[in-house]
Amino acid sequence: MATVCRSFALSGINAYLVTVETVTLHGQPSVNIVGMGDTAVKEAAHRLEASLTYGRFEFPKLKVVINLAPSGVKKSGSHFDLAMAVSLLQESGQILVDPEMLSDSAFIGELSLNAELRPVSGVLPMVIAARENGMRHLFVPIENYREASLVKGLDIYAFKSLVEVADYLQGKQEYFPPLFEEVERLFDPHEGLDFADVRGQDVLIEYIVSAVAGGHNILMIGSPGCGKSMIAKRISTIMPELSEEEALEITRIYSVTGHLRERGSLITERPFRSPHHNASMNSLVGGGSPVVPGEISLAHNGILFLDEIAEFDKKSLDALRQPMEDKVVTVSRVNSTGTFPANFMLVAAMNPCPCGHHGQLRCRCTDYEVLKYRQKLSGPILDRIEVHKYVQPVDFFNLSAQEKGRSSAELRERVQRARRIQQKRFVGVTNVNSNAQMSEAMIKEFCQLDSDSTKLLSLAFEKFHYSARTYNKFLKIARTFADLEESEVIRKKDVSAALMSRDLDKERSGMLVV
Amino acid sequence: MEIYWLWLSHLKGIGPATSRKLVNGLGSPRAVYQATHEKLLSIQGLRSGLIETLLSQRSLDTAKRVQELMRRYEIHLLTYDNPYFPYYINRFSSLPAVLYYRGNLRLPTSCIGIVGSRRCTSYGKEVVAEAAAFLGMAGVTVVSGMAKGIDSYAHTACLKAGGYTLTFVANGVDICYPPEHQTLMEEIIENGAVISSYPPGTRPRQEYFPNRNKLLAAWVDKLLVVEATERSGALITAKYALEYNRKVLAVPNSIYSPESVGTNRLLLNGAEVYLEPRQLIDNNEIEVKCSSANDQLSPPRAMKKQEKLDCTTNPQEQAILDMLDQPQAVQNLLSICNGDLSGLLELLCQMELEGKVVVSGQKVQGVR
Repeated sequence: MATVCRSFALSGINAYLVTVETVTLHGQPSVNIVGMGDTAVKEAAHRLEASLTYGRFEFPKLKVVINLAPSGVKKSGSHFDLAMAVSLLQESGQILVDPEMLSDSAFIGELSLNAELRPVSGVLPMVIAARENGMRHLFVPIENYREASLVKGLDIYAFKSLVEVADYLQGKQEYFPPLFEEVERLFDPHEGLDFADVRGQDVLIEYIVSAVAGGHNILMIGSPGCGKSMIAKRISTIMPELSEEEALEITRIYSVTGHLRERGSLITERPFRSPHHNASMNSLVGGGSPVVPGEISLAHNGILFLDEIAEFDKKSLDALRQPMEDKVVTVSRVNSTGTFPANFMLVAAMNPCPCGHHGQLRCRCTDYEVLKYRQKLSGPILDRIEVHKYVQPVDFFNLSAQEKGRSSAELRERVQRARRIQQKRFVGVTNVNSNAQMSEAMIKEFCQLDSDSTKLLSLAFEKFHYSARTYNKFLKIARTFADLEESEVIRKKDVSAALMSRDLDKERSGMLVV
Repeated sequence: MEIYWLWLSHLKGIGPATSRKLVNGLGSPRAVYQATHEKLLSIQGLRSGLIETLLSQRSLDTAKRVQELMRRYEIHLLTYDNPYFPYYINRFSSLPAVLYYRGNLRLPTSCIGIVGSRRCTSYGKEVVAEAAAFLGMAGVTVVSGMAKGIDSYAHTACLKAGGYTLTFVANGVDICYPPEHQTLMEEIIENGAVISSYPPGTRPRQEYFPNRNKLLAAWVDKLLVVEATERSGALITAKYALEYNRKVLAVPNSIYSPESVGTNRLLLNGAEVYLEPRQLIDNNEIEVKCSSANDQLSPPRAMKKQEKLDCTTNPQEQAILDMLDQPQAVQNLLSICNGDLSGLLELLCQMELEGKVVVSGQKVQGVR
């Protein structure tokens, strides 16, 4: 009879139960690992041999067959090592574990040649899968303990080596959970970033606050060195605080991609991802085989900052359209399919023209060149970015005279208040929790204008030749501005502010082109 | 007939002067194609080598290939004996006898050339926009070269004013150069014509541009040079224009502006100082036509100012206008509204819609 242990395999950001079956048969001594494992799985044979030998056990001189079931699904990773080792020890009679205990336990961990346990990635989804599959005991490497214990409802056992695991399983040794002194945070989560450091950009910051409050995406246009990146890095400091559920979602993604290994704890701040513009499409949306999440999923519940967005590959950018709409992305490959959450706020930055100094005296770009440059951003992408704002280069020499900007804490308070209003507004509506996500019908219902504001809007449309689809955007942004000031109705000043949020469209109307 | 024109114009060693001589002497290009040795001998002043060429190179393959391209792109041939071909061009035998064009030609009327720097300033843009729009409204043809900068603005402003415009390019008319002017080119074909002496399929080359400039200079009645650096192609056009006795006007500007070194030098050498669009048209000729354009487009600049003063302004608006001697960041105007940002935005929005200020990006400008 084969000995059965349990472990997990990853599929996307989810894990599923894998049964590790081990038999020793009479025949030429060999190790065969079957069940569609990748190279890391196949090489486990060598790690097993070495670690058993050095871990005061003996590697059986028999034909060893290890099967990872379900056998028809590709598996990858080195975390099956521990389950294989335990089942082989049990099978060869070197340890004696109560079968009931074994059937209630699952094992995760990579083995070193010296029989030590090494941390692995993707522990969080595996623990969740363990709980879902009714496992009661989970054995993990000690470095993964904190991550594993984020999930309640089953016993986590963290060990340093295979010998310790074997001793505990046989009841030779008692288990003491590792003690972690709470590492005191030397830095606050945002690494000292605060909007108070940004001076002379009050107008822009006001629009950023509204973008964050209403869930709108934002594009900052400005000459090189005017502070676009500086501002972008601070946007996450004014986003509403993470709920526990959101934090767990983020941690899960980071666990799978291996970003968590060193930190091993819950991610408590909103992610800020800024991929370079040579990023491939797969690295942005996710891909590979097996499928792993891309930047847009790593930015889930946080900010995806695309600096120099005009330099990004057009195809990669267009691939963002569907995830931006649906807030999830499904990456399909022949062998595997992964659905990853991708609810991010897009913050983009670009130069206004090829030389970067549009609107200043030194710029010599023609209107046709400027438009061609801006057309690098496709219409559908621009369409999904509601706020386009110029960043004013600040006068350094005048900076000292200006008072400190408003702090992030203060701005975040305003954002949270506006978000609460929206939550109340969209209560009971699935998939809509911010103004940006309002459907046509909701806009009609929630964005009523008085006659004064309508007149203002139509005047502006006449003057600047805005397109019809811009109309709804103005309404949504005006709604957010009203929410920020806790006004039930949209007032003329909200519409005015909204009208100033589409700098690119407005500029388009003033260009001398056919 | 077209195919024989193409054949003749593609023969090596036969330039525009010889083509004219041959066609004038024998009556038509087909006659040239079919001419015998004796007939060719009867034409005065042909080099003997040329007759050899004409008799030996009877292949129409090249011509047929070009004709195919012309059909595909709806390109037409404009030959020197066509009534649409300006008769005065024939006076200069070095100018091409065969042209290719796309679009609609008009019988030769008065037309004004506007040329200038590719890398122009906003001052240049403003000047050219005013001039070309004025001409477009007055029904005067605007001629330029579809290059970046001043040229493209001249075409664009003219088209926007509902005018008619011709463009001379230094490549085949099937090619758009620079590529970002694709829509502009289509618009010109719709409301004007793209003309070239180079057969379709020719890519632009540096050495083609002076020839293009020469043709443009001969075609126009007057030439306005808006901005030109020291070594600008616009100066070559101006040089030819003077050679062909066309009036050259130049736009004055700061002596320190590198984009105006060429134009200022033209002024020094006797070009007319350009101060307003009316200088571009002959008063007696089109006075009537342009009176409406006058009213609409060129209100004396003083009047505009008067109008602006007539508007009632509240004290806050006045305070903003007072600060706008030069463009200001929105940020800097906050103090006027006591730091109330949304109030300021509302005010600016209102003022912009009333045409009192221009808000571009984060910058507020007064209206001149």
